[in-house]
Amino acid sequence: AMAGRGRLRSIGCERGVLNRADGSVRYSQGNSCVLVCVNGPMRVSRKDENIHNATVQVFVKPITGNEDIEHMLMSTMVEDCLSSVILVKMHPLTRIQIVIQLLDVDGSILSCAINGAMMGLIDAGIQCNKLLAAVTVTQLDSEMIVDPSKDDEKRASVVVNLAFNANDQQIILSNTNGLLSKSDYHNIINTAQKAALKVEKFMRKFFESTMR
Amino acid sequence: LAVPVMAMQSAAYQKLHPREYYKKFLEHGIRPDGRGLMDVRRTAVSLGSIKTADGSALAKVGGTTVACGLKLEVGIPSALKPKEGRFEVSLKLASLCSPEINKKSLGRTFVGNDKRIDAMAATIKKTIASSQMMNLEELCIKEGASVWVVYIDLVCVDFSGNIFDAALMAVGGALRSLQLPPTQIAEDGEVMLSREGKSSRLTIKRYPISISFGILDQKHIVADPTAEEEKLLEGRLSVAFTTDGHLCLVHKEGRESISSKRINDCLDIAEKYAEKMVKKHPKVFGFVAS
Repeated sequence: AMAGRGRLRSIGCERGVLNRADGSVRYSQGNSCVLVCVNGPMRVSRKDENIHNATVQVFVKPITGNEDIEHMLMSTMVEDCLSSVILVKMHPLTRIQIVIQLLDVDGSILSCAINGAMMGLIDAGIQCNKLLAAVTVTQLDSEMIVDPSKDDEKRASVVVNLAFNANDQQIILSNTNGLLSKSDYHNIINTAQKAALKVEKFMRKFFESTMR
Repeated sequence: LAVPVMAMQSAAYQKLHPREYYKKFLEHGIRPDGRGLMDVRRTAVSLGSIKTADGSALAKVGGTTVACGLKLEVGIPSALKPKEGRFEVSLKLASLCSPEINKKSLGRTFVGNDKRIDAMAATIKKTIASSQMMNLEELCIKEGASVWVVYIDLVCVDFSGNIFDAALMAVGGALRSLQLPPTQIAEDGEVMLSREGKSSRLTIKRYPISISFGILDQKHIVADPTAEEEKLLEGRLSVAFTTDGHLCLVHKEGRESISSKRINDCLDIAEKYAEKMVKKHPKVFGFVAS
């Protein structure tokens, strides 16, 4: 595993990979890779419609097999993050559909999915009020690893997923696994905030250089 | 008379502008049901209520009631962990839990779909696993061949907001009451219940105790939201501490973002709450010399 201790793994991104989608992106962090397809605003069925806001629907598809409750949890977490950034009030009675196809799972898959989805939204041109960046941090004894690989996550005693609002560093998503102490959590947040700034910088640089 | 007119105006205001109505209470540090912003409703836990299950408990937080039943089945262990048993969590909202069960208005958290309920079941499973409350090796029958698989079924029979806390308490109580029957292994390897030998219980090192907060907006966070409050909330934060003081879950979901300082305040409240719960329910969360 080549995860640096405080450093993110190399981030890769390719946009416009799917011809028929409003927005699509293939995004990777190290060896973890996702394909994100964004469509919308589009028609919504009666049972999902909301008269004030657009309905945001996220589907996470595993590499093989059917979705299980872990994927349902991942999709609700991504849905909440994206609902906080998309300007849903601009498109009532419509839906915005984001499908995240997992291509390769090598650790930090939730933050990979959230970051990929964020980039997919920008590629689709869906108005957002802020940029969000997600980071996974693991801890073993007192050593923290940012953007861990699968082996790092297996060895760790604590795995924390965090998503931040890039403007004011507020927390949109927090999800912890394992036993930790309050001060551990505090330190993990500080470490993750610094890493999230780097993710945000990558996103901005990428889109500024690939304006089409 | 002035009084009936005022009551009618207040009820109309609540219908037309529910958020503003609610905020007027919060600004005075109180909620419509009379609780303070960080007060949790009364809790109750009873063990062993379901005789047909291998372990069971019923937990209440205010009006919200969740029943937990455990069923044991024999399964094959995973090749990587041949000595460990498994558990699966499922959560269901019974049709009788609320008159609004089929409407979209059943709390923002469950708008329209079962995905959120499955996600909550997954979070409960992760909290149990994170807390390391039980030793999965105690579920081993024969290493590499047979282990107990515990199916944890949660059913909400009365919905008044905040299922998560009640569900987690119910799981803790049910695991405490779980009896593993004595088994013998036949020549062909099949596991059978044996008539001799005693049932054993799981050694539970600690219990996770959670408190869920509702986030209305940046300034207003309330603990243990009711069903009416949940409809207005834009975010939720569930924090679970174990009975011996470790943090095992900080799960924030929802649209509204929150500063890390506010999360720390909630962590402090959750820590004190877990200590209080051990004292309040010693028969469930306290330790019995066995």
